[in-house]
Amino acid sequence: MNIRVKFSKHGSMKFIGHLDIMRFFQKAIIRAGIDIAYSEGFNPHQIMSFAAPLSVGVVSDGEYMDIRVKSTKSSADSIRALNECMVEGIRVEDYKLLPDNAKNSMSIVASAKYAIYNKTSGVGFINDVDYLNKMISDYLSQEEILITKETKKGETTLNLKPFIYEFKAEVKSFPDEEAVDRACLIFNISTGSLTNIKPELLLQSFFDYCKEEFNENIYQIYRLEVYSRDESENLVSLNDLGANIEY
Amino acid sequence: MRKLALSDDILMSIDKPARYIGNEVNSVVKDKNKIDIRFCMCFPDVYEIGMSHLGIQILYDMFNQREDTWCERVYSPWPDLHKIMKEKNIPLFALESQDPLKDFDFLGITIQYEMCYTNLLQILDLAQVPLLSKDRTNEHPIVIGGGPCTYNPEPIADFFDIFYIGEGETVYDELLDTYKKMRDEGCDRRDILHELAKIRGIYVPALYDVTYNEDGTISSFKPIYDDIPAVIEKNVEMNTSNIGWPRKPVIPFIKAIQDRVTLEIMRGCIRGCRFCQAGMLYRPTRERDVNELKAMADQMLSSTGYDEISLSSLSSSDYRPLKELLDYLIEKYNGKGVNISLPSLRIDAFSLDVMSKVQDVRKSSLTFAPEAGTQRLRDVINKGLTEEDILNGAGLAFDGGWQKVKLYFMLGLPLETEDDIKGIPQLAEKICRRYYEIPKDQRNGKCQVTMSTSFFVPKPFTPFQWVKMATSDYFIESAKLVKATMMEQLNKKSMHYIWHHEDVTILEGIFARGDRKLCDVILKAYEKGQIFDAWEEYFKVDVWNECFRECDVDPDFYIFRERDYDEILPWDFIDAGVSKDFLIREYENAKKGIVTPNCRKKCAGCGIAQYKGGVCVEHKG
Repeated sequence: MNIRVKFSKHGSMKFIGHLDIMRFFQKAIIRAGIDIAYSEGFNPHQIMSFAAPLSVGVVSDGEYMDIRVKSTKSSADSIRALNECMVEGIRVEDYKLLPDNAKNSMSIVASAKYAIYNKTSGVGFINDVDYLNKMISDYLSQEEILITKETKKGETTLNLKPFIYEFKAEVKSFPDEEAVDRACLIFNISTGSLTNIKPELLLQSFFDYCKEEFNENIYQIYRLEVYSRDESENLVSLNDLGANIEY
Repeated sequence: MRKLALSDDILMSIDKPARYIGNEVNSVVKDKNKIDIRFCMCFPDVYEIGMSHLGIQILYDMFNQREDTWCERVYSPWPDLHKIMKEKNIPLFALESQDPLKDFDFLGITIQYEMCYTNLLQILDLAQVPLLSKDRTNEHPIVIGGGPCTYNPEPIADFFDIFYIGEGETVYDELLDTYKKMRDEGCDRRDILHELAKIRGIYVPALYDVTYNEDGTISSFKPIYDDIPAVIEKNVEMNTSNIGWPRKPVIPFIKAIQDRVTLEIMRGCIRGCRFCQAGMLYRPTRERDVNELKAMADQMLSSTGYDEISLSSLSSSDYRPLKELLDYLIEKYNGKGVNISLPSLRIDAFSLDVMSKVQDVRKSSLTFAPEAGTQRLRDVINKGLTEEDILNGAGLAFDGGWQKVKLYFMLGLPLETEDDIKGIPQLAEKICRRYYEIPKDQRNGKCQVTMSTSFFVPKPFTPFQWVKMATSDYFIESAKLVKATMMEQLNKKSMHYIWHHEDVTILEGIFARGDRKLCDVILKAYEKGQIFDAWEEYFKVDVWNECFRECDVDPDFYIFRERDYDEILPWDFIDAGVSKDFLIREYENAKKGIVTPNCRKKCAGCGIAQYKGGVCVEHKG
């Protein structure tokens, strides 16, 4: 049985890198008594894969890990058992059974939705939502949005425009900050094995367009969700591809 | 959410921010308003090394079982963060609460190796606690040192308020209770330290006065009060059921050096190798109950989710119920996602059988520690391993499919001759020949025999505590001789030789048997920017030489001098349980090449039998 686990990552846990989060979950799964399946071989390892690695410093509500289990309790019980083994900042949100023919999350990631806001209220460019929405509309109305992207083969020029699926400014509250609403940019961009656009790439381009300096230290990037495409090419959350287990 | 002591900007700009954020699984967070004593345990090296240390995990668990105490942890900030903290005047903080150490009641530092001495000062300095005990006031934490280096605490005596000599399980409750009572009564720091100095194994260096002879040796060492002991007796936990173990080991997010459950099966060692300080300090040998160990293994694996468990002791093959314990672990865990690792096993049919079950024979290598190249020198150092043992063990291993062998040696041992040095590659040659006796069609290519040499450092409380240490030039020349002799061997292509840096060893030798005069040198080195001397990239021999010169301290006095038996040694005020008579007897036996049987074969009368426990009582009934 393949299970998709959705979790969130906040607070000090944003400083823990992707591989260490994986090692953290390998141990948490044992402590929680999840009946995980192991690979064959002399040193069997847990069958586990993660969707889209998150950069250090980014917080997230939409992290996904697929695991194979030999048997399972209900979703609610499994979530409870896992959350008893989490640390502050990591919370398991969902635990869903995938259809037998489901592809693993890593291979199907198509896009990811992010928010970015000023870490310190007022310090930074992201303040005036109306102004920002006007700039976004000007930015997106360009014929092409050309950026240089560093790849393994060197620098290439890329038109970002077709890979931006959503881009807007709004006011929201954020779990990592005191409970005051604040302005943010929200964008959904192509992610995964086909065209991976890092959030910083879009932000640098947009800030350049607005003639603002993009100083990563004063902004918090926040991943809201990760999507795949369904048969009709619509973006669907990875979470929607599984079903709750109820006994 | 917890607020971190370091800002996002700083954490994003340094290597491995996970070293500084705490929040690890099984780390303990308490309500500080309900706590009387705040204790911070420190391992003065980088996080990944410090987190691998079992001793801190044991004490952390032990302290946190006290309802009135919250024990937290701190490790040495890496030089990248060190620089930022100095520039921005950020006080060093404990991982759990992220609160500054300077507000704690106690800062307990474990001192595992001499090369961390400058890191001790780094911790104090970054914590904004005065470096010298005499400059601290009631406002500052009490700084306690513990661990093997405290068996000669004198080179770092000025920096500590207290040294705790011996095993932590025994008198910490008494120490904390006394402290709490006196603090609440409003007692002065000096009075508290004076009172604590009456507890067994507690050494308050400021309360002892040292005078020196003209030649620099010690003329007297006396307490300044009549009501504190002149001799500090080490603490030992004689009831093995009371030996601590971490019920819930703290699990680092980043990979530590020891990324596994460590199961301490035994304390002490029956072998009595004459160069080995641990073998003398941790006497008497005490085996833990096998059923308790089984339960501990289960509990620690389930409280951590680790996929590996490692048995720990100075000589695991001497743990008598080893087979029962291993059978249990293999039966319960092998092939179920938990690896079993077995360091320090004697290579014989039993251990090879076990290893073939838990390791991939082709990938793993076997380790022998002959320590010396010839039987004569092995007799001198009382290393019970014979050439026959090694060749038989290696032979069995080769027949069983192993191809890789590692051999550990020391250079510069007392009474070493050129033949002993040449004996190292000659022994490797014999091992290679044993491998090539296997018919070609039955073996799997070449064998790999790796020789590794370190340089011998004489340590306090060993029979070699009086000897003259070998010089830097000698070390370099002897390493070259090993290499040259290796090149003369028939099977040189199957051999590989690794040796360690000699400069660091010399400094280690100075500190190991140093006295209080070295405090100034260490302080000066820290002021000149030395930290992380245990790391080759940060150790600077020139800076250290400069410090010795500027402090007018002659380093040769500590290393290149054979001491007399009647000289007062800086650590003589500590009673480690083994008598000076025994150590002298052993040194004399070494000179004659006389072997002393292990504790189980025959009691050598070392003096530890006064503790009436462990191996000392087991073989008498």
